[in-house]
Amino acid sequence: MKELLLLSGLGVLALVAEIINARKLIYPFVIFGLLLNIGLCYHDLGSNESIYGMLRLDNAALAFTILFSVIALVWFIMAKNYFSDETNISDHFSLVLFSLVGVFLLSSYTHLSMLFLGVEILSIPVYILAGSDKRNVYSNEAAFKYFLLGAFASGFLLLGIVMVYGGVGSFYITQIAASALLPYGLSEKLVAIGLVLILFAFAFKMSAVPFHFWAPDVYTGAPTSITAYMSTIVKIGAIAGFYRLYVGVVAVYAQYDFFSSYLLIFLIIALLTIVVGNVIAASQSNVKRLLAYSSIGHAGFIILGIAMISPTVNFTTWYYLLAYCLANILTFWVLIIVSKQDNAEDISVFNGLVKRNPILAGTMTVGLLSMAGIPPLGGFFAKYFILLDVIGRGYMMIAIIAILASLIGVYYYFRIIIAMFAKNPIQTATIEIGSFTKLLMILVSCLLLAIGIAPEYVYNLIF
Amino acid sequence: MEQLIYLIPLFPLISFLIISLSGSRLPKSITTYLAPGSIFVSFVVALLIFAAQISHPQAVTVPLFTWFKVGEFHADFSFLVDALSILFTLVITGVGFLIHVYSTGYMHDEKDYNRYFSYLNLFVFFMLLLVLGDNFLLMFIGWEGVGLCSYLLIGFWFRNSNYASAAKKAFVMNRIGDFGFLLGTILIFGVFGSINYHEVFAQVGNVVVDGKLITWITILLFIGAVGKSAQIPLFTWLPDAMAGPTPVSALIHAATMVTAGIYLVARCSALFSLSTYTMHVIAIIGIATAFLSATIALFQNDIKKVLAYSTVSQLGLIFCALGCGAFSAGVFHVVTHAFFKALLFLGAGSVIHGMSGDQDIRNMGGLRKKMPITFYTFLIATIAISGIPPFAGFFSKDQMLAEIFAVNKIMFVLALLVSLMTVFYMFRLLFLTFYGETRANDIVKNHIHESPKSMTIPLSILAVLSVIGGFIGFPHALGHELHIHHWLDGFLANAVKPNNVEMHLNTELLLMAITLVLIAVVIILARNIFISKKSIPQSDEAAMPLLKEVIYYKYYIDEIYEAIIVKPLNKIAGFLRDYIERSGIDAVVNGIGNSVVNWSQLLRLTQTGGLGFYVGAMVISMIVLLLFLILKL
Repeated sequence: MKELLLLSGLGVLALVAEIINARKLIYPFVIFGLLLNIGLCYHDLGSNESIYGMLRLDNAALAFTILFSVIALVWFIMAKNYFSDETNISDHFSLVLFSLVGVFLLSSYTHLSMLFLGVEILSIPVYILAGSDKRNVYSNEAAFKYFLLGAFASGFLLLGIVMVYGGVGSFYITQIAASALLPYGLSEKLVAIGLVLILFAFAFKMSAVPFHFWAPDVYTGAPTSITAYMSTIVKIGAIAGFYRLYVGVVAVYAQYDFFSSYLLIFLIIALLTIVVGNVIAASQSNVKRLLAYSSIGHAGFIILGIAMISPTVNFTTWYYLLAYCLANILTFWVLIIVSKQDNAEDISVFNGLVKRNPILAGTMTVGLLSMAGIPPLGGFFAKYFILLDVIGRGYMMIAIIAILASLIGVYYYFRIIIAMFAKNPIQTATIEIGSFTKLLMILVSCLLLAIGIAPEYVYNLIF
Repeated sequence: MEQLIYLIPLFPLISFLIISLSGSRLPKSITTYLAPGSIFVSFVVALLIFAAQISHPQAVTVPLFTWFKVGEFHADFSFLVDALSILFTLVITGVGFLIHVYSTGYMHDEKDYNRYFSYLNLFVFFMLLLVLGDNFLLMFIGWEGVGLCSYLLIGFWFRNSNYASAAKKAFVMNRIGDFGFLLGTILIFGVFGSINYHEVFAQVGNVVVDGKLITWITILLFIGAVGKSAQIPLFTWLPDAMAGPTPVSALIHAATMVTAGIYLVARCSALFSLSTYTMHVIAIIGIATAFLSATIALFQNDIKKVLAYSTVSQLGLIFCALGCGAFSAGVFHVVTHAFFKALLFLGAGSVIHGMSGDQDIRNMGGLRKKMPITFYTFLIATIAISGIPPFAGFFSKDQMLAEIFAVNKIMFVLALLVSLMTVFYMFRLLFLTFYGETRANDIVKNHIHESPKSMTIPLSILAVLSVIGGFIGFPHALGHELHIHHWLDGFLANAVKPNNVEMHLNTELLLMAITLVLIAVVIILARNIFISKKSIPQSDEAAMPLLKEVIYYKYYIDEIYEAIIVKPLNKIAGFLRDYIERSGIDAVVNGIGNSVVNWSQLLRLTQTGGLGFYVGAMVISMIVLLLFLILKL
């Protein structure tokens, strides 16, 4: 309860701050609030608090909340310029904070109405944020496309929820799951189609193939800070929400015939996502777009991890998200600084970056290497744990395809690394960054290394 | 007390981090105190733990953390304190500290002073990790780490390309051995399901394991030891390693790193003693190496080369003893050898210092008066290595010889010959360097001076150790009468497999007497040749008898290796590069890469940007997937 009040309170505070003209106060409040939120969640681990039967703060919910709070914290520091560039900053503050509330609902719902609310509370602010660069036509286009296609997805989601309700007669996850164990009182087809429709809606939010079409256009058109937000926090929300549904409901239906078809559809989506995301990324020359496609590929890996549900899936999904989000936010951070300096987003702006600012080049390299899955960084173990589950379940071919596809990732990530280290800079002016930024970048890089060196420690800390 | 063991490697590591991270910004004066100081603190901690071990000899495992876990395999970062590891730790920190102090004088005018000490500290850290780790993997980390530091320090003056290639040679040869070690470790895990010493050795006693596998494991581990401890056929790197600064030769290439192979065999004595085949191999390779390198040392003219071959020879002798089951005798000789060989190298360094960098003994002579402390300490070391009582070398060498005698008489004769050759070349070195007239040119001659205190004090301390160090292993034969207990054997009994040879007291005394008489004869012979007749080794150009020429050029082993291994390998590599790699693998790889990019170009066309297409594609794929589901239901 405290966490929910805190996050919503921060959003309201940001709105009020705009009215009483105290914008400068918001920033420290937000940072402090997020830190407090992390502390509260950590303190509540194991409490299993239920909020009016609609939300439940079990350990998985709290783990996801800690995760998105940490990433949001880094994001707010990274996106400081984004807020100061625009005119009405506090509106954006409150939009971001309210969408965090949506992520929180998705991480902890026990009632399908909360699931729907969470998706909408998360999505609607992001539609606006995607179009927040008002004078830029691409930003407007991104917002519009995202909104329109998102509306479709919401439709599927509602339809799916209704069909599940029609099948079992309840919105509560526990009751839906319990009805699966009864020999009567269940309309199997309705539930099956309903669950698959919900899967499609989530696949859309997670930008999984073939529901990914919006992602590259929206990611490229939106302001870069918002792209970073979408490819990290929004993904955490969608995956946390789907994770709860899968563990709470779908996996319980494992004895029914339709489950194998469901799993097959699921695996097809996961594999398509990994392969298509990585293959298209190979020929991108715009770094922002390249990262957009790469994030599609990563989403595929995470979905694959959820499909391999087992006692450890809790950790593998969470860990993959952690490693992916940290690395992703690092690369976007560097991209924002570099592209702002040169006013371009092509790979060539990274040429010779090591000579212009070695810290930026080093940070970018750490982020890219982690996403490419090079040990001992976190990204390697994230992939490793998921592949271990996949192989453990006997899906050898899937593991091989996933590994081959992620090898393509090594190719396009290294294009950027080679540009930074082996090519001569087009512009020779050095890039200055503040010492606080520098410190934090190094800190996040070290964190990425640390979670790779001691994954067990991270596990023991949270689970 | 044992729980504090982690402090011992910690201090050198901290010192390394401080010095290496601050680089040349750190003033020399701080490094001068920090680097030796950190080792000294470790030494004090080691002494305290040693004291605790003396009163209660026991094996204590000190776990720090689990490094990683994969399935059943777990690698723990934990230390093992027992008699063997603490003895090696004492030698490493004690001798290491003295050599650090010596280095502050020897390297005083060096530009890269801080780089030198950071490497030296890192070396001590890895060496401690090697001996203190409680499993094979941790030992392997230390094993690789000391190899790396050895590489860095041999090539310390890397601007000289000869030195750099000597470093490379040492590294490559060590890597060959390391590979054997690694395979051995993997096989141990395969057979015993663990890499922890205790868990492995406990099973050796209980479970019946296939003898062939034990032989394979021990042979593979021994290959590792052969590389690190410079035995046949991987010994040629050690003489070349003398390219490094002299204190490095003393620390790494005489006292500590090269004894890692002996530590390995002693640590795994429970395993090794199960395979008689491996034990024979070790004894034969050991004695062959000892003999071969002793003959080479007879004719060398470079002061450090003589000592280098002497080290190889002594290590060979120790391996021969290990192969005969005399594990604790071998460890004993490692300790005493560390004292007097470090002293010899440091003395040689002092001589080189005084000779303005010249290392050729043909140009030396008469240094006795000008460098008295260096002379007397060098003399003590020479007596000690020759095995004259009551100096340190006598006790350890005598114990080894006696135990070799108990196992194999022919090997004993060879070992005796080796120690007699040792006496000869060491006294040759002593006489040529310190006696007679100075043969150097006038500039060098006028510059000859005694080294500073920072160098002579370590020399003196090591000299004292070389005199009294042997009493920790007072022989049974003499001690029986004097009621002096053979302390070391008892101390090591829990950690190292004891040797159960029973020998008649009189036999042992007789052997001792014969050996001593022969040593005296050899010393008189050397004195006749090099002092009375004043003969000086001829210059390289002069004609030599065939046998001497072969020995002088080190049996042409480097040339043989070059011809039968390096050149064919280069040929094969060239063939693979041109025909397999470039036109085979590369073509396939590039083909795959190009096809991915082509697919990518094709697939990106689906990203039209038109909303209508997006919605249509989504809806159609949904319908297809739903149809699939419904048809299946």
